[in-house]
Amino acid sequence: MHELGLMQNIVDTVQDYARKSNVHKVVKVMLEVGQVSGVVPESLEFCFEVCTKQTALEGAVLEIEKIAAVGKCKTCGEGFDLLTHSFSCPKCGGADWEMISGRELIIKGLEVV
Amino acid sequence: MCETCGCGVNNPNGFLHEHESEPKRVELEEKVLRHNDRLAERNRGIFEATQVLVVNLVSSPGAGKTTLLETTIRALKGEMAIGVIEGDQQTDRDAKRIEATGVNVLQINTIDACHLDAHMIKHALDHFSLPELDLLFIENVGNLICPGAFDLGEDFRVVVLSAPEGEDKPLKYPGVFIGSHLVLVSKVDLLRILELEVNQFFTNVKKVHPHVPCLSLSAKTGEGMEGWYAWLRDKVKAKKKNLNQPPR
Repeated sequence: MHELGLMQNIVDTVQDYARKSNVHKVVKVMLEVGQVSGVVPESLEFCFEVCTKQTALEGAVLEIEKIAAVGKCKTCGEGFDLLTHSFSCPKCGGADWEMISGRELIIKGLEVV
Repeated sequence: MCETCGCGVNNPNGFLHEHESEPKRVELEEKVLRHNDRLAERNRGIFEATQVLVVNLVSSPGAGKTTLLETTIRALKGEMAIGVIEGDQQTDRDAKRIEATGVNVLQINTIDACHLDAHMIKHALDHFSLPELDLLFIENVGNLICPGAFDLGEDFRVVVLSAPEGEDKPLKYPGVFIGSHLVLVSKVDLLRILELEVNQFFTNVKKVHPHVPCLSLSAKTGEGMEGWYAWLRDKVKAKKKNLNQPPR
């Protein structure tokens, strides 16, 4: 629900970078969005065009990599997708795990010309 | 010959021609919420220095956060100084209810926003004399998704899950539970009517966050409230001695 605000943050961060590094045109923005970050990638895409109008990012491509929610089983060490396996280890059935990924909300990088 | 690159291309505009540069890849690795996180750290520093325990209450709308706060404040205000920040999109209804308990309260209306953020909290703190407080509650905007993403600088994030919402909510909305430090299953006086057991709630909470402590209570009947008060007393005391583990 707060994707518009997040996208504004993303555009501001990239604009900051562009200004400091003398970059006039950003052609691609790469994001990592975790599956349990509370953010809907499709909504981010929707907001991207609106937020990038008349900025160094106008016309750029938004590339979103979805990061799976992965847990590492504390019993047997197996790494597994928490959502597909309903939060229990598919190898040993263990319910105690440590979260490895899934909450990311990161501007990974850019392509600039 | 081209003056810029020295290639042999000749074109009608003399010796210059356009240079299509290849896009250059830049690694940023910036957190999208870096501004919020920075302000949250600043808030945390203020809470550290003033030794105020800060509890961020998160739940769906209607889970009973305000009622829980009213009852809690009436029970504990004789032994500790409490303040409340109320977050809602509109109205000061909750602030008025809290005000009636006799403690200092500030209402934040977020208008369009679906959560409180660290910047709003930073400004709200001007309303309080923090060194005189022992405990500051932040009642977040009722929403089981978005508040989970925003660190406010609080010591503990407490999720309130009310019995009528159903025992499957942790599985459906894992994000906010995964980021919590305590889960309160509230309105347990309704469990019998709902034909549910409190353990069904606990089991699903532990599935998505194996080690989070869980309590069950009813602000209406008083059942389980002592456990919650004991938890708060313990954390307030630990905060005074700087003993609480940083939550993240």
